[in-house]
Amino acid sequence: MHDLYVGTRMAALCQGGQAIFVAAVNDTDAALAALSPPLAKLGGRSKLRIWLSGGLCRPFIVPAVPGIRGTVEWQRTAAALAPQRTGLAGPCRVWVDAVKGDAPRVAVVMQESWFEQLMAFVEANRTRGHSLASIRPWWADVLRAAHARDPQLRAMATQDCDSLTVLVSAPPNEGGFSLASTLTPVTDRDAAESALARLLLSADVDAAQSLTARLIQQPQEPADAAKAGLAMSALTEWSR
Amino acid sequence: MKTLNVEFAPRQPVPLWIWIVLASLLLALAAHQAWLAWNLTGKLKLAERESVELSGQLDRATQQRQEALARAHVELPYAQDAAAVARLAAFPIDRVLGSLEAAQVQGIKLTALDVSATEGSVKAELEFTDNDTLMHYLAELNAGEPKPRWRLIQAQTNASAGAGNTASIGSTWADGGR
Repeated sequence: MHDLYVGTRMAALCQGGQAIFVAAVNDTDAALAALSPPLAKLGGRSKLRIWLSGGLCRPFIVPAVPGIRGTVEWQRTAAALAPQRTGLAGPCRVWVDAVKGDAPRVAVVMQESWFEQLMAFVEANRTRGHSLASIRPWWADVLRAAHARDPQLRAMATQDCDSLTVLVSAPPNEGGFSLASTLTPVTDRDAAESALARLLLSADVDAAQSLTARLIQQPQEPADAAKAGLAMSALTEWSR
Repeated sequence: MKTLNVEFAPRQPVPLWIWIVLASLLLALAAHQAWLAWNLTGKLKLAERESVELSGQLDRATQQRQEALARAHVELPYAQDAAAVARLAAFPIDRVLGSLEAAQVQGIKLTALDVSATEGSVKAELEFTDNDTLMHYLAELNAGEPKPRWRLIQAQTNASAGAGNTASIGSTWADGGR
C-alpha cells in the first residue's frame, strides 16, 4: 500500500507514513508528472491511496432544502451549489455525507475535468501493476486522526500546500457540522493563521478547542501523529 | 466532531473471470440437481411399478384366501344327510312314547302321532271329553319335566257334549330329551 499526495503546489509518495518522495510543483499536471518516476521505480504490484489537497477537493455545507429526498437529489443540489460555495468552475464530481433527515450535511466536490485527468493517471499506472485503493481529500484523513485524538474537538483546521480547510462541528444537540470551508490559495502560514482566527471567531469557537494540522515538505520523525495512523505522518505537523 | 468517509474512487467492477467462475459453478450445480432429479424420478417410477406389482399380488392372495374360506363354508350335500341321520339317531323316540304311555287319563284318546326326528318335534292329535280333562292330561305329560315340554297347539270343541272334541298338542325334543 502506497500513499500519493497530489496538490497544485506539492506532490508526495509515502509508505507506512514515511515519505519516499516529495516535490514542489506548479500545478496538477506537474504533480502527476512528478509522481510517475518514483511510482515506476516501486516495482511489483501495489495499491495506491490518493490524497488530494484542499485546493482540489473542497468541502462545503449543503443547507437543508425542503423537499429533498434521497442521495441523488442531495448530490444534484450540492453540484448546483458547488461553484458558488467553493469557487470551482465547471461540472463537479460530488460526494455528500449520509445524514438522517433533512439536516444540513457536508458535501465535498472536485472538478470533473480534474477527476478525469486523475483517472487517466490511475489507468496508466494500472498497466504497471498499481491498482487504485481510494481517492480522498487529505484533510479527511487528518479529520479521522483528530477525531481519534480528541472526539470532543470543536474545530479542525488543515493547512496543506495550497489551501486552508476548516471544519467546525455543530452543537451536540444538532450534530454534524456548522462550518466546512476551504480557503485557497493559502500558502503562507501567517495568512493561514489569520484566516483561521477569523473563521473561529465567526463560528464562536475558542481557539483552544481547535486543532491544526499542517503539511510540511521536510519530512520529520513521526511523533504522536504516527499513533493515529496518518497516511503521511512524516509530513504532518500538529499544533493547537 | 465526527469523521467523514469521503471517497471518490470508482467502485471496481467485478472481474470477468469471477463471473465466469460463478456462472460455471451455477451451471454445474444446476446440472447436478437435474441429474439428481432425473435419478429420483427413475427410482420413483420403479417404486411405483413395484408397488403396483405388490398390490396385485396382495389382491390375488386376498382373493385366494377368500375363495378358500368360501369353499370351507360350502356345506356338502352328503353332510346334510349325515346330519339328518345323526339327528334321527339322537331323537329320543323311546322317551316320547314312554311319556305318552305313562300319562293315562280317562277321557283322552290319542288318534294320531306325527314324529319329526329331523326337527326334533312331536305332534299328537287326540280326542278329549272336556277341557279339564285335556288340561289334566297336559299336566300329566309334563309332570316331572323341569319345564313344561308339551303344549297345546289347538283345541276344537263340538257343541254336542261328550264326543268329537279334538286337540293338537306338541312337544320339542331338540335337546335330546334332557
